[in-house]
Amino acid sequence: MGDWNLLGSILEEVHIHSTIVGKIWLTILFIFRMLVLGVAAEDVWDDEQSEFVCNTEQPGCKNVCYDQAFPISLIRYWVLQIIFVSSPSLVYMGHALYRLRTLEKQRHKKKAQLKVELEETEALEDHKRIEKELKKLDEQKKVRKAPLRGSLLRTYVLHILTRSVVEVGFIVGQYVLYGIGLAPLYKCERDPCPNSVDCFVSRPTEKSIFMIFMLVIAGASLFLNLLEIFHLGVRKIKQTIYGSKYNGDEDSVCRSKKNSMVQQVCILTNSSPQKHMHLTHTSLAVVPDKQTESLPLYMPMAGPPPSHEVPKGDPSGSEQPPRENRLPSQPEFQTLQQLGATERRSTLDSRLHSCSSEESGPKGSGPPRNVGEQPRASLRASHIEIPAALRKQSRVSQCKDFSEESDSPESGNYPTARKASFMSRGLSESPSDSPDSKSGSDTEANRIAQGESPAITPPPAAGRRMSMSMILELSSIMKK
Amino acid sequence: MNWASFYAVLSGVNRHSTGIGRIWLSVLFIFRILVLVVAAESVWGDEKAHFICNTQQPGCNSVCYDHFFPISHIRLWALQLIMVSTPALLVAMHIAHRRHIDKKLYRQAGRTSPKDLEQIKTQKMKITGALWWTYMISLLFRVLFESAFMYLFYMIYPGYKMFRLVKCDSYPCPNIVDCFVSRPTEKTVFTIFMLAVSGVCILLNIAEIIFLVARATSRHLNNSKDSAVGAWISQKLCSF
Repeated sequence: MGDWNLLGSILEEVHIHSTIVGKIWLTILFIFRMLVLGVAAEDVWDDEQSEFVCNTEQPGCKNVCYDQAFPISLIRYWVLQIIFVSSPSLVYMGHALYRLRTLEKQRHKKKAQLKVELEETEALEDHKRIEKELKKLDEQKKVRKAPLRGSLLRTYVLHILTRSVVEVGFIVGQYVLYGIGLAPLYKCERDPCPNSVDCFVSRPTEKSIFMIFMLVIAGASLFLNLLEIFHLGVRKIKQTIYGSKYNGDEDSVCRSKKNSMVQQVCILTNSSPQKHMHLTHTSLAVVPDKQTESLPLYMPMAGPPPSHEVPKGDPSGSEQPPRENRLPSQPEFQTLQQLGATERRSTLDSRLHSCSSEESGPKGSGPPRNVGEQPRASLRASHIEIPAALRKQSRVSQCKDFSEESDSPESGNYPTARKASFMSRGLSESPSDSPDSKSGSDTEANRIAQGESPAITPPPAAGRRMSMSMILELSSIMKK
Repeated sequence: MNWASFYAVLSGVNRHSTGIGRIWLSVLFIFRILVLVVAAESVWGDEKAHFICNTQQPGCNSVCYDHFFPISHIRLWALQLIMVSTPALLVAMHIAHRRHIDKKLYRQAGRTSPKDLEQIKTQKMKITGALWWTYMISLLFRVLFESAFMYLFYMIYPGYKMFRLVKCDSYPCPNIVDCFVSRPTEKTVFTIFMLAVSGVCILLNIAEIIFLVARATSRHLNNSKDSAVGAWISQKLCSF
């Protein structure tokens, strides 16, 4: 068959911008359609016309009968099918590249702006903050994939729908033209054939086998398309129910307990506000909000407990922008590496002990304006968390979770430990959170809590973190 | 799309396979795909054109050929090779997934230098944990597909010998008609060869399964520090 290279190389580019289901769909397209077409099916249809024999000597009869029997050769039909089914992906890819370029331009602009600010400002903290932002922008540079949100998400959904419609169209078309299989005998009565003439199709059984095979593969592709639509739809519904607080995309990787190294890192590493927080032992509803990560299943990152970050941050302002991306410091990263290298539980425990100690320290210190950077930092952390999302709160609560877990003599399996810590956390919920900082989130939390409380036995203390973990519990149950 | 691009897709998996896996992949490509493309296809190339029936009745040739060769050997082998190679892609996907997580970790931790990212790309993944299970499942599927196709082959073409003469009486052939297959001996040779190599591949896959299980067991036993028996067993295994 001709050159598939051009389409192949373009589709490779599409591969980068697809979700995981999209990647599987593309693989199926390449291997089970293009490859089979190229190496197997073509040879079967090679002698289609030359071996189409009619029981007559009438000149021209064979030609007209062949034309009537095979309006379009199935090989050409399948080639058209592949091209038409791939083309919506090209449109989506174009949009994704355009979006990437726009993001890149924005990033450059912001970088230039920050650089100007850097030169102008004198205060050390401002300096640090701006440097951090610059670093964050540099990080984003590495992203080669446009995040799947807004109009890009709409294009994506539209392209999947178009693909499904085209696929259905071609399946129906094949059935209408040729049915399921080919009969060996074709009776032809077209001019100039005298009366009815017997014509014999070459290799009808082999052709039927390939027709059924290609129908099955088309059906599988259609199924994958529907699966992807369903997956996106479910995410959207859950997003509407729970509000745009969760992005399960990142959760899914951390959710899988196979790689506990990932889990721990998920607890402890930072996440940008765009990426959603991972909650290790939760199977959180996969809900992409407007800031859905571009790679739905590859986002395991969660922020470390804010108490670790914020000491580096702005001591004065309680309005750190929700979109701040806190990078772990070098010691943190070393701890991360240590996590990967050493025994899981021990490092987890040590990490979380330190985490919990930092957490509990500020907890006991009272109102936010206490002396010491750390108490302020941790409370500032809670300040920061509130405007950002409940997910950030859960980061703190998660840290506490694990601290409780590590405290218990046997850390059992995560869900039970979580439940235990859930209850204990409820009991130990400190009222020291300043009302002004927590009010906003409280209302949110209460709203969500009210939504979820029928499903879960309400804990003794109805704190913000309490409702958070209730939601997590509920979503994990629902996931199962 | 042709075998060359398929090779490009599959050889990426090669780096993360065990030694036996690499041998299997080489056997697949050299003794099966290459032989198929370079030799077997030309042997079966004229199978329809030179399938001659002792009759002038138009259409009798086609019908008799279709009756005795529902699917050509070449196509069957091509489908078999495609299906047998596909489980390796599962492993490739899993590795890509893991690499992506590693990259994210590195990025989050601030190690974004090209050298670090390059290191992730070139780093060989150890077959542990979930990847071990994915690998095992892919091996089992390979064995399954391979055996299924061998069985199918046996069902369609019982015996390894290619018949020289077939007797056919489907419509429109009048009475019983003698039909002659082209190059039966050469086809027999290649059929035996391909069947033998399929058997070798099945054995390689089974050996790889056993090897992986043994390695995992010995690793597990080594890790269990408070087991003298475990240490003894692992020592015995290692001495193999």
